[in-house]
Amino acid sequence: MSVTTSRAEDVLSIRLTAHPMQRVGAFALALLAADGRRRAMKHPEELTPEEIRSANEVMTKDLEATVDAADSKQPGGFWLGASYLFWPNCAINTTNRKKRSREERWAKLYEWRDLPETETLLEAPCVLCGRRACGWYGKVDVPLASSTSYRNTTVPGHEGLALCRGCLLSFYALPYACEISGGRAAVVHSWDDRFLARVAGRQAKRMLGRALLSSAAASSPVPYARQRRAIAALRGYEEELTDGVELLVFTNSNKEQELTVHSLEQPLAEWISGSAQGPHTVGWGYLCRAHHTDKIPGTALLARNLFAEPQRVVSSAASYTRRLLEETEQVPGESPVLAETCFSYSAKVLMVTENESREIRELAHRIAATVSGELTELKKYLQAQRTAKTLKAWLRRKATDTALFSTAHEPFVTERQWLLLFDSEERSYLHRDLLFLGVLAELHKLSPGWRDDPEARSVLEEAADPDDIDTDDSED
Amino acid sequence: MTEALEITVTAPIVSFRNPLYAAVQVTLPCPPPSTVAGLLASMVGGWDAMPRGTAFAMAFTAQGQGTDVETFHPLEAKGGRISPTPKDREFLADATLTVWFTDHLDLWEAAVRRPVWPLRFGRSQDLASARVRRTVLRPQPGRQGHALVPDSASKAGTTLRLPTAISRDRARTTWAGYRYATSGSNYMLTTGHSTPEGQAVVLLEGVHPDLVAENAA
Repeated sequence: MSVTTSRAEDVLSIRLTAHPMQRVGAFALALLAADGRRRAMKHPEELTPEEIRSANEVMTKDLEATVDAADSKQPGGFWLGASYLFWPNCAINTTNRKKRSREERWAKLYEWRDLPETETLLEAPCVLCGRRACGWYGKVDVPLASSTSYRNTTVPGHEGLALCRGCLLSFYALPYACEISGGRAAVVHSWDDRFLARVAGRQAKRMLGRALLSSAAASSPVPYARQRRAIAALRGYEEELTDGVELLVFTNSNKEQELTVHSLEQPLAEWISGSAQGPHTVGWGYLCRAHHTDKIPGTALLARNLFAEPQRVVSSAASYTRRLLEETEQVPGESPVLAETCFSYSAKVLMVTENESREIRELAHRIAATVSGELTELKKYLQAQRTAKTLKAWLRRKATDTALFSTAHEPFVTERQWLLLFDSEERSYLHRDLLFLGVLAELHKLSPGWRDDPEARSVLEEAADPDDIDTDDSED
Repeated sequence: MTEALEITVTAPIVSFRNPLYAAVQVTLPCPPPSTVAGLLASMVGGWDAMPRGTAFAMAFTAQGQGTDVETFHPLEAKGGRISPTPKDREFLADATLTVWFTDHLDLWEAAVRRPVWPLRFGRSQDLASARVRRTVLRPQPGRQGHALVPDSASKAGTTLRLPTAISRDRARTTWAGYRYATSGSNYMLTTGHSTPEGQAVVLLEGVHPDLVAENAA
């Protein structure tokens, strides 16, 4: 392959591209360039060539520690352990590693990671940013790329993935922004650059500390820990989000290459972020209670549902209050706050319209007025709302009674409300759950004697995992 | 009202590999504009027969998704022979792609009725089928539904950076940001046209490969 000398635009710099992992790595690189945040972290595209080189030196120095480590469990072995996950078959983890002398390992490391000083570049564009590439790369350097030795995505003789130095260094920095556990790396990504800078920068700072202390084999036993971390990052973010958030869980190891992407769409990410302050702060805690099980903490199961099945959040809240009501024969003290939180969630995330919410609330008020004060009536309603069929029958009876014996001009249930509850395809379940929560919230207001104390269950909001607390006092 | 052409392409199984993760055969939730442009180019006889200013709107649905195991035949770079291995491959089932044109209606109508090359869509071993009909578009925006729209047009759905066009030598790719809601979205767009049924129709531009070279120059 022919080479040519550099042009002015080939000066070492970073450009953000369409590759999420390159983008995350670029922000991690910016953190390294900021000397672990002793200086202010810049946007990656503002980094000077000197700063990029300095960040690269930090990465190479970290890898130097592996030269003296007998294996990944020894002091200095953190990046050796991580290398099997990110850079299989790279120069620091070859099969004959133990037979090599310290000097040979050192030489191989620098052979692999030496950034071209002379600006000689290939006559091929970088596949990601379009600038001229500095070399051909594959699985060894770029997670989840094809191996340069075995592949079927390019013609025989093709040497691999053309990358420029900026994109290559971004991939090298990616592991700093990852959380490693259970043989997988997890990284939070967003197309919102400000949020990404925050989350990648903080994770990179944590990773720098962790690499000094432990081996890469450590893992977190907390269920859905990755999802919890992403949710915690969102709840710790006080600025306006301009895009959704995704959690990429992957491994690039020789045993298996795998990628799973968990996404939070923008409206959901915005709602989660906003729940940390304002009217839904308490409601968030109650949602965690509602998701608590004997085996899984509420924060973990809530995080799981937010990523995997956001429509189940409201049904979990309804099930929780239903269970409490049946057990105690008292209206759960959480009901008014939980109902407001669920109506807000349904409007902002599940796109329930204002009109639909109003219709459901109106019917809830009417039902609450009918059953309040008489426990037997409440029990009949509780029994009825278990299935669509029995709720229909109960509503029909009440509607008939209203028509025959009441002076009210309005029907007990309107046609529109009926359609919302029983003829809205898969959303009927959501509307019925909202109706139930709305009834309990109104009953809480109308029947003070039935209220119980929500603090009785505060133990269900387990203390936050220290890892969940996304705090950082240093300058962004 | 704007006269338009609506093309509906159906295929039983499709897979749109994410080009950024070549080693794992994960599928994108919908075809990138560059893939749809390739399908259209095959109908009309190749890139030279496709107007450079081609723009289309698109919507995509799949009724299911799954993971299959396929035999992977890796090619050794040095030319040796190695054993095939099983590899997971994600797929989408019962796929329907709808494409709308507002220009060159006669050209595209004829191309669908008598395509120059066989239609393949997301799976090279299966043929896809296509139907075409004339329709009219209302001047007001519509519901996003399952449309793939530029990310500036919506806040609903997942943001995807997808290839808009790939140069003829495949060395350069134009990427752009889009929004797509896999399970459909009721979000009402504020730009574009809509079908009589209320489906939003937002044109995607810059899909011809020759425009990649121009943009890069």
